[in-house]
Amino acid sequence: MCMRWVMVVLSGMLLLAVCQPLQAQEPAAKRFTVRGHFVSRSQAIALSTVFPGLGQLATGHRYRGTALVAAEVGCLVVWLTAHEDYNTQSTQFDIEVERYFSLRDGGSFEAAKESWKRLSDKKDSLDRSHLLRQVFGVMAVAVYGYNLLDALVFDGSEPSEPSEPVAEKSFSIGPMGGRDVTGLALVARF
Amino acid sequence: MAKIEGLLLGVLLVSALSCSNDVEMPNTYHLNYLAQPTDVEASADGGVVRVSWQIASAEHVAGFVVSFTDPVGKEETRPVADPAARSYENASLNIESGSVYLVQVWTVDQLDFFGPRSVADSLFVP
Repeated sequence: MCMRWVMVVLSGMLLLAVCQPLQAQEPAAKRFTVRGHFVSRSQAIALSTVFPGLGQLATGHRYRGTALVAAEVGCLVVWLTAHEDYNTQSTQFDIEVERYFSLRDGGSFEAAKESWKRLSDKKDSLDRSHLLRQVFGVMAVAVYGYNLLDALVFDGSEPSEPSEPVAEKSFSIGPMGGRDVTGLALVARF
Repeated sequence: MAKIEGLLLGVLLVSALSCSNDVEMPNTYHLNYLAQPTDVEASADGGVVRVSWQIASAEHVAGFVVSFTDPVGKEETRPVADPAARSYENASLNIESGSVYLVQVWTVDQLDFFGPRSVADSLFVP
């Protein structure tokens, strides 16, 4: 047991010793670079197409972009939660329906009445979950639609006005270039 | 670009609205299926218990169940296989003198589904 712990500690130390020089050889600037300039209009539209608010954030519309991202995330979370809740309750409803019909054979009026009451309650819950997921699903689509409208028609994909804080100073998003990896980077400066 | 965005928006809109609530309540079978016995009257005389009842409709009725509940709450049931029966007599029922029993009657169909219980009648055993 003790020997095993020693081996684990030694292996960990060896791993750290091997990894650190590798990281040290690659300076931070090379591993992670964010463009300092604004993205183009087409890039901003593409980002807004990927997810609402990203294009606005990339062009420096910080508040609008944040609001769109938050609204979309919120709507999607509630929609997905309500959807899962609906599926769970739908399964429970089906089980209760089976139980209700199984009472037909050897059950009693009182038991069937109780089962029917449970079914009615579950149906009400199902209807509520369905309404919730529909409302928030439509809201998520509406936010996405407004985001596209903002990016295509309004000035959501144009660089922000000087009155609004520019992205370089506090919040920016842009393509991340490196030797091995590529992707998007969202950078907040405080 | 605009076409792709329109397509994405359409897909999102359709998927949001296509979540249909296709769950419906099943057909009720327990309501108005078996009639509830009425006018239940129970009497005990000389060790013989007699229970009588009436029923509005004998449709789906395959028989009756007569139950006796003692003061502790212990229930004893007796089946009556005749759907035309309106009374029940038993001389070998294990009942104690000086006790009050609650007597109920309900119908039963071919699948042994029990109908609604009647209003309980008190039976005083002298």
